[in-house]
Amino acid sequence: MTAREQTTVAELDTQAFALMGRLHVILRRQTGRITDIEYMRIDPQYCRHVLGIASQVESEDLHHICERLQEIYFGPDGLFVRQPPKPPLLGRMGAPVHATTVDAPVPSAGSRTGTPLPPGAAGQPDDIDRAYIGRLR
Amino acid sequence: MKICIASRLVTSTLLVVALHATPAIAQQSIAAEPPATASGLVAPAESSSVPFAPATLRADQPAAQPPSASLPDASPARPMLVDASAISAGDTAWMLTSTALVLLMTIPGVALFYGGMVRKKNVLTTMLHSFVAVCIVSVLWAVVGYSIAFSPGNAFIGGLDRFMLHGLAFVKEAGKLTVHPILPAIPESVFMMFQMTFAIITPALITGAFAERMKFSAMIAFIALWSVLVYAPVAHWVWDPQGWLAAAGVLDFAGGTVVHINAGISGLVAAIIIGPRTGFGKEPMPPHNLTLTVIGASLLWIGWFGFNAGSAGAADGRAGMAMLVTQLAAATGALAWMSVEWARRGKPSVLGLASGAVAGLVGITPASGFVGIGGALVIGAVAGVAAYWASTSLKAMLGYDDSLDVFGVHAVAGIVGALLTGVFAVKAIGGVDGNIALQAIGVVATAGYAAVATMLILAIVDFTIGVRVAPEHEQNGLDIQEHGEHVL
Repeated sequence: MTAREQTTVAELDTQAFALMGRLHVILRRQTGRITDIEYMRIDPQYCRHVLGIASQVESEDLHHICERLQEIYFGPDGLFVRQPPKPPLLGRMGAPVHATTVDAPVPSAGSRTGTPLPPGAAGQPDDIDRAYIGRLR
Repeated sequence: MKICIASRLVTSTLLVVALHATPAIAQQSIAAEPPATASGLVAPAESSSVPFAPATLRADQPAAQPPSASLPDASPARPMLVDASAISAGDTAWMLTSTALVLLMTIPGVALFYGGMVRKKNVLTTMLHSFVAVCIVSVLWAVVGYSIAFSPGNAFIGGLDRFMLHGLAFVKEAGKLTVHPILPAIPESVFMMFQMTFAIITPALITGAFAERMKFSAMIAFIALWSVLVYAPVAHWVWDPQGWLAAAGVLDFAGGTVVHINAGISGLVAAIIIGPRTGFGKEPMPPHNLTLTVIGASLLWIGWFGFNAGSAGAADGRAGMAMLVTQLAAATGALAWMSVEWARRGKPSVLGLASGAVAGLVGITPASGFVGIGGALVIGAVAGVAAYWASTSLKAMLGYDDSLDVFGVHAVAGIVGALLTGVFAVKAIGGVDGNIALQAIGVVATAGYAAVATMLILAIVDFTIGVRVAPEHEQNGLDIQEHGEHVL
């Protein structure tokens, strides 16, 4: 994936995160339904399911949000189309501990939304942060 | 128990100070001082290692300086009362300006430079270290530091003639004021203030070594003790004509030894004794705002003109040369660091360029009144490369946590500058030739004393107050834990 594509993915992911936050609040207010935003980001089936429920609710705002999320995730260049879905959280919990404490990049300001940044790509925020382990300069 | 002992120490110090403070200091001094006779006016420094010495001998000395100013005096040089007409207005104006410039280096220069390099949770306390250093050292310098450094004593320590600035006087009606023999053409008050700003910045530099983990109260105690027990004696050795290193011919124009090696070595010792920050070597500790650091480095660069050109002690040709070589060394230091970093890591960093400039400035400091253009270019470049190596490779090799690389930048570039002063000193500029062996003696003596004295001071502070914050305080950040404030 080129740097430009990585940037596009990061932007789409940020947009989706914000939209899902709004969707969560509206659904809870109007229907009492609780949604899991993180799970929507990693599971296409669950994402489709929530969007289906949301589109049946009478709310113009909610419909706009659903359309946009549909495009971001399932459009021709959607996030679930561009890259394979991430494993579900429960599956990731079963992964070896060292994989998260040692190999996983340290979270940084640039990856607050959880946007996957390719490991080892020089110049990425995670990489820069790791450069400050044990030294300042 | 620790707080009780510390409290008693502070109380007894304040009592001593209060007992010695009298409102009639000026009158006493006038009565005590001998009349301004020809023989009593000036004893020019014999060694050119005293940065200001040539100012008393230069050819373009203004007419305001009395002819008797060049008469030698066998007795130790001591401040004296002179007629106001002996003061050079031009020199005084430049020294007042230089004093303000050097103070600018500490606040806000060092405060911003260091503040940008720490994590956000520690920025306020880091900046406060520089600010409080100004307050503490200003008072201590007036009470005892200046006297220990610049009043007659022996080869290793000055006397207490100027305790509480006793004898420093300005009497407008009589048209009299005191001058220091090192710089007889400016008021002693200005000389004392100029020297005070050097005394201030030195411990402020050290605070970068133990940033993000030292108790604020312990830091205050450390700065106070270090300023009196380490800085003042070393300043006496190197800059007072009586000092043993000055007498030996060690060259240090503006503080490569007294300020930078002294601070860098002390910082390294403090960093080792206090121990690494929690998580050092395991988690990233990136600088939170390099914009602040660049602004701080820029202010340091500008202030350094007061530091080096001001150390000429006069507004003259030597000050001009010092300013010129300072500019060149700073530029070559930055370029050298940038080049090495670019070659090794593929990118020139902002922090690297700022650090290289500071390294170049540190390197040229001891040499600024002695070397020419070629010397400045070489010293700046070598200092930049050496500081880069020390702050990256050497630090990784030895594993110490000198948080902001006080040792790597100040001690290493200072040592490079001190030694190369012995190589590149030009007699036509500074009046003396260099001697690298003598310079090495100066480096070793200062480094050895600074290391041992810092260890002892930290042992005392640790015993009485405790030097290190609790691990959970370190985790939460010193801004909120030590000061109840934080940056959003």
